[in-house]
Amino acid sequence: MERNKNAKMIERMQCIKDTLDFKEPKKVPVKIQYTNWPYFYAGVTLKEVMHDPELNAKSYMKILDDIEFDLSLFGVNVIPVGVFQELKSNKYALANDDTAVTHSQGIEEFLGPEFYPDIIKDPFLVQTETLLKTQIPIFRRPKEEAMKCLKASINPFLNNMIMQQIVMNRMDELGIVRLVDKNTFSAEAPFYFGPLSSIMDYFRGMQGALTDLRRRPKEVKAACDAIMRQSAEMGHFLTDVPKIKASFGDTLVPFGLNIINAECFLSPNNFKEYYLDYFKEYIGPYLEAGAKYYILGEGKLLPVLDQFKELPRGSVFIQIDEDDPFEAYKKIKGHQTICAGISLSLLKYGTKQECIDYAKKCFDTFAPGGGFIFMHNKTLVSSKDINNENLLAVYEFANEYGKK
Amino acid sequence: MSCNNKNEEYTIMELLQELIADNSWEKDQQNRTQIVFGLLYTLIS
Repeated sequence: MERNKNAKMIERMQCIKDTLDFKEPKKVPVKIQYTNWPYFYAGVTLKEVMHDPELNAKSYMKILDDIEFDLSLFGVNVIPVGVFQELKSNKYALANDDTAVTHSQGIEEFLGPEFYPDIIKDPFLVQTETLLKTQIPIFRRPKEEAMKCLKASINPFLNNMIMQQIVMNRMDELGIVRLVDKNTFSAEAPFYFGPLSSIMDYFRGMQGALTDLRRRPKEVKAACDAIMRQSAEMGHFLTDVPKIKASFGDTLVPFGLNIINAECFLSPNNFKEYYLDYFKEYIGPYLEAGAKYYILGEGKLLPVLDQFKELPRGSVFIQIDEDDPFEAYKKIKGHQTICAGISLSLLKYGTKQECIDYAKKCFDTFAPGGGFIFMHNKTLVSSKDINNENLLAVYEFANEYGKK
Repeated sequence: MSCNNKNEEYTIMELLQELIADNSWEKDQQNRTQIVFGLLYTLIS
């Protein structure tokens, strides 16, 4: 990932490096995470601006004028719903508010367990051929019709790309650190998506995947092995630590990203078998080479959090989602960094003072000795997620109080 | 929308390869390749 570094970005990266290395940084890094929420903040709908990349970007960037933050996951994270509209697919669609994007995961068709032999043989083929034809009906229509829709989908795709680039350029100018590239989900180290999350998100759905763990564990395990082998091959994962170090170049912090989905529902034993052992095998060499992986932990991780102690100290930084951050801190402090600070429900229903008091308690508890990045617990998606005034007040507080 | 069994005769990858080969929407082949694979990534993610 090419980074257009400037003095401000380097200063921020140093603070991030220090906190991940358990040294108290000059300023505790502050992170914010959102998808389409900035449109609500700007008072526009995505539908109004999605056809005009410059207006779209201008609207999306309004938040940058009002809130200071050091770190962002992608910088911009807007699914191009226009692509799916042109393909006559509801896989991703505009919600009733014309801005949030809904995912049809709850209702979309997944594959039956009879597809395990195909998944084990060639997961990518199943994903690109079988699944796309199942989930995007235009690909079951005559070729000419499918091609016409596919061509029509290029324009909204490009509009979204242009808009993303404008926003990312602006964030670079402001020196905001973007953790990974939006298009590849990779940074200096490769994107890691656990194989069981792939089975759940892509092939079998939540109910199917969790049932399979009990009823057909051998097939699940074989599919996990195949998914990881192929991901590593296609993603050109490296195994030689000196070569990995060389690939990082002179970057101050070589970042990587791991999104956790299915794993939040696993028992500690299954978490080890279906997540941690694979993570160690495929990402272990990167961690040994100095990579810092952001663990986007959706859901509850408290029962398995101590397993992250098996990874090199300071090699991962974990977003605390549904768990109590104070309980999480007790389990992992001194070993891995936590990204936590305030819940969306408090930002929504609390008073300004209650929010600031809670944030202060987080800083007073987690910040000494490093290992803390301040952020809210869940991704901002919709206008109803929070009270904007509380968010502004809390981030103003965090940016001041976190200074040494 | 009904399923048309005749369409088993083409694969998604064939469709994408044809889109890459078609220079009517973008002159530069490298750009076309990047855009089409970006599109595929969007569809499967």
